[in-house]
Amino acid sequence: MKKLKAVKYAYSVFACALIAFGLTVLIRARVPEHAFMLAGGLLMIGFGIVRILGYFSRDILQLAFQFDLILGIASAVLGCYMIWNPQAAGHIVMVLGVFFLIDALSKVQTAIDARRVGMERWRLILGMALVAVAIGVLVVLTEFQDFHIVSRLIGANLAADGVLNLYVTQSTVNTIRRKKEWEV
Amino acid sequence: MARRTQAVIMQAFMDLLTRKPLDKITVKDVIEEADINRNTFYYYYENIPALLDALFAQEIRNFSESTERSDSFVEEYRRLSAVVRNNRRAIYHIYQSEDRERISRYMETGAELFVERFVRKAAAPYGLSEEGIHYVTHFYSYAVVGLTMHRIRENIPTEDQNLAERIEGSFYASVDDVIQNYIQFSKEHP
Repeated sequence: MKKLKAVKYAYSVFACALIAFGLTVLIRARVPEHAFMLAGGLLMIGFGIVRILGYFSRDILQLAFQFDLILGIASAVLGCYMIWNPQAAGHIVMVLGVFFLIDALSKVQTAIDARRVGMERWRLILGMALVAVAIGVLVVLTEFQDFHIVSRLIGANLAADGVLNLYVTQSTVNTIRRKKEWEV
Repeated sequence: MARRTQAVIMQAFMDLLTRKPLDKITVKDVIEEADINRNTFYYYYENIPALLDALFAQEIRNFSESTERSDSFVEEYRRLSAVVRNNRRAIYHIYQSEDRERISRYMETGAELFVERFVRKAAAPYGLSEEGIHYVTHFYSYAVVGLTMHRIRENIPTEDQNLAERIEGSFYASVDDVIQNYIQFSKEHP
């Protein structure tokens, strides 16, 4: 349980970092491409590792982390690419848009699973996931615009995805005391 | 391992039923109570109604396997009412839900299990048909179930010590007439 608590905490921290980074990119008029790639790359790597750890944690509901093995690996790989190829900012925003669109769509399924399990907050999860999906679609559709225009959309996308991940983690990851009479 | 897991899930469900109405119990509640994960629950059961059906099926099996051929009507009824009494709160919570039809079916199945044996014994001298045996069995099973459901519905806390004897007395006082009446009616209305 301690491990799960640690993972939940780390996941929440990185989600907050994603929100902060996204809002910074959204609000600042022009973000240097190299700074965007370096900071974003580090964030993606860190969040990717936490996501993989989350997948292997013994979360009783298995709602928040159910897709995080694939998404965690993809996030870490994208992060590495961003750091090693800072000049590819123009291309990476499209890839990031697709990545966060897939992440948001996975949360739509999480909302449906939450409803099935009997969680009352599933509607809120679904609503937030659909907003993140909508922003992700916008990013994908504006791929050929100027980097600074697209990066602001990416900023909104990052912030929305961060809020979504934070909420899903807080509301579905259960850290109740586990009885160890037997194991599954 | 699978049976143990199912037993843990069912026990967790029963514990929840003693505390909450059936309508308020979610899969999330069951997996938290049983300390299993979501996928484990869905490996065995599709949803809460499926779990409830499995629980009833197990209780019926237990009741059926514990019957003794030498048991009297009173002893059989007392066994059935002991099951109801020991699970009173859970049964009440199921009865209060939209699934009350299930509890009636469960009670009918349990009653028919022992009533049919006594009906067959009483019908032996008359050569009653299978259809007739089913009719008479249902007739008395519904009387037994109706009386028991009345006590559940009214949430009657104490058991009438003489009820079992009264039911047995009513059965033996009337079963011959019921059987003969069925045979006569069948002859007149083929």
